[in-house]
Amino acid sequence: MSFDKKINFELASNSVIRGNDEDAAQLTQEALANGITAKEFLDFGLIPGMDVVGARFRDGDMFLPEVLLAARAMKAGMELLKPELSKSDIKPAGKVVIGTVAGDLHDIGKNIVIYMLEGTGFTVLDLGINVATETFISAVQQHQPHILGMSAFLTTTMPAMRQVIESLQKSNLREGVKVIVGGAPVTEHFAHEIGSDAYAEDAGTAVTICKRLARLDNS
Amino acid sequence: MICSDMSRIVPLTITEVMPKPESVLMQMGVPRRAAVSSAVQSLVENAIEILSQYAAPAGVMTEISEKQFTIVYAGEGCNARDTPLEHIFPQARRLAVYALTLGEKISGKIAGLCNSGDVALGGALDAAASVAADNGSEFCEQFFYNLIAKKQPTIHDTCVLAYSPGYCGWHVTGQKKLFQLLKPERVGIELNDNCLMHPIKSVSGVLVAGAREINYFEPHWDFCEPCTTYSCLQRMKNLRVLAKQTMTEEDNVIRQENKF
Ligand code: B1M
Repeated sequence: MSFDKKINFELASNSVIRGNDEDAAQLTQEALANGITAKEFLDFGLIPGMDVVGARFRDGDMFLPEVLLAARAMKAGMELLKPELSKSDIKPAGKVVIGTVAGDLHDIGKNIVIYMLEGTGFTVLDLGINVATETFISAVQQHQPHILGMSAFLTTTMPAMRQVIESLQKSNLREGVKVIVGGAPVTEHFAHEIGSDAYAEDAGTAVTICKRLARLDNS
Repeated sequence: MICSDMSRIVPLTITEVMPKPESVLMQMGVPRRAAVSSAVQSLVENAIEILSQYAAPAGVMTEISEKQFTIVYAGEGCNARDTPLEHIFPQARRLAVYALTLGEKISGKIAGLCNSGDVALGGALDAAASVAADNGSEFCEQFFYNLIAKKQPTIHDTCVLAYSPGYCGWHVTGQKKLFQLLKPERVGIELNDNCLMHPIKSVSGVLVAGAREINYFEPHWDFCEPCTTYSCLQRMKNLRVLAKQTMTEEDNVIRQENKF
């Protein structure tokens, strides 16, 4: 059967929407074998699928487990595209350094945010859990990300977010990086109060906001 | 209020905490009875299976007096000015503080799955473990109830309900005093300076045994506004359902007795 680019892209998008990682991998292989570039397949096959997922999640038509399966399918395709993508000079959507703040050990929320960011083309450096203020600062210094992300699970660990932002200011790094915070007890009001650029209540919103923040930063 | 000097290990096993797939889906934000794909269904079933292999539940409980609990409750002085619990616990017949954990291995497994790139399964397992931890609290309630019922078989109007620091105006720093009294370290639970328990899938609180009505309140406090769960409403609803059931059972017994 002859290869039809349009159908391949459409099927790839659908495999992401349905969260079928096997189909996503197979369609990626087929596309590459038929001379489609990694960038083209990403832009017209996988990413449109993830965009639909993001929109449906926002509208309440899709739920977290389905989104996670979609991201898994996206990742299955991305893995196969990686070697070619790294050879080309395609820029990632943005670079994010992220971690759970000092004294806090909860990481599933952060991990889901990372998963979704990577699924939409961000390069993410995960500093892990219980991350000391100094570690955030040196990571920003060293990796110069567009965005610094912090997560917290309890109100008692949230003050560490303020400390990191103050340290960024003291180290003259604040101007060069956008800050986003999130986690169960974190609120928009708190984010504003500590001088964060943004707050996201879930991973879908975090992706939308990070895209906006990275664009602002790139301009 | 009766108070015996009672501190004991709660006989928690994986059987008691096993979550139902529907509860795991709800924990992941899927509304009750929403249709899910077979892929999602098997993701959740897989997570529950892994949970059964990796969770090692353990719990501890100590019965305390109202006076002792007044000190625990006051904690570090950070509670909201007026809270439901401060009206509830003085009406309790018996009180016990408790803590439980699913152990470290399950958190290691969740982290391992996420680090290896399978956040879908890691996320589902995390949700399953969260439900299991909540089920553990329900088991502790039942365990305390059974202990009381053993000595006082006619306690139909008594129920046991758990309340936790970090909820409903009882500040999360309340865990400090609770830990000093309970010493959950003996089942492997540590509290850090930020009042976060390690292992992460752990719960602490007080078990309040008393008449059902003492637990009814309107969630109109200041701290209710930012609450995302409003789990108090479900808990009160469950109590009301239970009260109705008990009444029907009692009615039936009376009817049966009148027949003869
Ligand atoms: C960088 O940019 C970003 C952007 C977005 C970001 C981000 C970063 N990081 C996260 N996000 C966002 O995107 C993610 C994905 O959509 C989301 O991440 P989350 O991590 O929030 O989401 C997870 C994927 C799923 N969500 C969760 O896992 C948390 C859900 C809720 C219901 C919750 C759960 C499940 C649990 N808990 Co509890 N728990 C609550 C939570 C209330 C709520 N509705 O959020 C909260 C967080 N807990 C609370 C409390 C008090 C506690 N819990 C406890 C225990 C537990 C369980 C074990 C039963 C269970 C699991 C806990 C765990 N850490 O794994 C205790 C502490 C445990 C410990 N280890 O110390 C205990 C202290 C209770 C006790 N005394 O036992 C409250 C904290 C309040 C406070 N004052 O800090 C709480 C808000 C509930 C409440 N009162 O309303 C977003 O927040």
